[in-house]
Amino acid sequence: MKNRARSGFAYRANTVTMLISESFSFGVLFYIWFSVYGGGGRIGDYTLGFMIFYYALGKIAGFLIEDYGVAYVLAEAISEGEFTNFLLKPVSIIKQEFSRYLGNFVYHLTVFSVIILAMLFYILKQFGGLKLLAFLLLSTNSALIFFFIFFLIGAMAFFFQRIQGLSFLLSLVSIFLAGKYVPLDVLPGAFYRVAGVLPFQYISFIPIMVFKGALDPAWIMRQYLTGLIWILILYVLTKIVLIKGIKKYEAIGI
Amino acid sequence: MKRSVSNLKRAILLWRKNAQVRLMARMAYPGNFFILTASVIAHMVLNIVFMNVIFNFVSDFSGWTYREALVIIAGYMIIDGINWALFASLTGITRNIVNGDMDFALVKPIDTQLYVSIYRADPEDWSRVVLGVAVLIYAIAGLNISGWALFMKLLLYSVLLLCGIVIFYSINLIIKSISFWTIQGWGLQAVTESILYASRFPTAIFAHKFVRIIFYTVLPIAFLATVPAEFLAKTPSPYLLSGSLAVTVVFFYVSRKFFYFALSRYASASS
Repeated sequence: MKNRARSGFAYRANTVTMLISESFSFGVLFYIWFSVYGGGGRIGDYTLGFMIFYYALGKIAGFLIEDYGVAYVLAEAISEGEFTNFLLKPVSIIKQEFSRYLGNFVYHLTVFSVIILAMLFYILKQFGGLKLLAFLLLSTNSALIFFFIFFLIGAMAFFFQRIQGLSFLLSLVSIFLAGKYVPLDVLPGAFYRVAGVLPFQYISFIPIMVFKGALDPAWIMRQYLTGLIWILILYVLTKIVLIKGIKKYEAIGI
Repeated sequence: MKRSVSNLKRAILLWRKNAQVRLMARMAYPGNFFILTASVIAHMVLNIVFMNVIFNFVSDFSGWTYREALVIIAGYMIIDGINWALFASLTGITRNIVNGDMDFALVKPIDTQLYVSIYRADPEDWSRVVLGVAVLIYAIAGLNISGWALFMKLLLYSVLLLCGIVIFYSINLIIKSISFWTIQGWGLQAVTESILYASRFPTAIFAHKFVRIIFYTVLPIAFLATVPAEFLAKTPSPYLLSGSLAVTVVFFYVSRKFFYFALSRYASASS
């Protein structure tokens, strides 16, 4: 965990460029929705303010949760034969990778602390502490679901020699079905129904929905428990894939 | 003149050889290649889905109808496709610096900017261009233009899109050249992507005049896809045509100068 955080600080120029590109993209999104609403349009039951908030919170939570390196690092290790090093260590591969993931979380939490604090302050003022607590509760599920989904994407490298294409495709699908492109409930019915039975929506869409409308403890509890069930399913799936993958894994010359 | 033609021929030959090697490398894993192509197409389709969501709720997007907006998206797709299929988005610069291979690039008997530009070509990204052209044909079908008018508009569109490709290449070159200072510059790719991302939408959405001026001058993303689309789908000011040509020349010149300035700061990795 410490290593990942230190590596992030060593290459801080990348963080600066990431911040520039994310701010720029967010600025463009702001103008898109400003233009749509300014012309008298309205997207579903979203007000302009809530639409901007949806993307802003999605981006900030994404800084902390969405570490796409989870899939990349694991796939590279398997493809290049460095996975053997993971196997030799007396710690499970899931724990090792999760520590790296947490390191990334800590690094981004530190770097973006000012933006995160500003957003927390805005949420407290605008929506109250209870909704914030519910959001944080659902966000813990988001992090775990994201980690296991992308760990599984990386683990595909056990079964395919090159997973660059598969990884890109699955990442795109995940991002779209997580509601990162557009809120899922403004998509055409078929898309929304498909997204509704998959775990991706718990990465971004469901936690943000806490702030839409009145506080509904029963809905929050239901979403939290469903999220937990998905984590359990993904964990079991990860274990099965690891057992089968390690049996298949070959590293020549090490 | 003779020398320029010979240099151009040599550059095309070198690019073709690089592209062949890249295609062979990709086809060594055909399954991965086809999935990669599918994912590139999916990425482009998501752009159309996003636009569809907007037009599900409005019929006018900053003065652009659905078909007109599709012309912009088609332009963006073609620029993005060419950017990857010909130059691999100039990732050759960052990669060569990180791997310490820039030394080898410098000793090659060829213009260094040209060498790092055509260092890699991604064949799967031609699918972006094909899809872009398909979207363009679909969009034009709903624009009520035909005959000579369509021919002339398409000619202008092609010239302006070519300018857009050169302008984006130049912006990309300037940004990627920063890698000579930052060394590990993968984050710069996200910056160029976000700039190209902004070009998918009509420049008219940027409500503040100040922002629009920036997007026509300092960071001329308006000339990437919006201006070519305006010449195809609307009747814009003819000044935009000369503006586009001028911006192309200026940006290409500045980017080349900046690349060589950045290169002069390069501290070799191996000596």
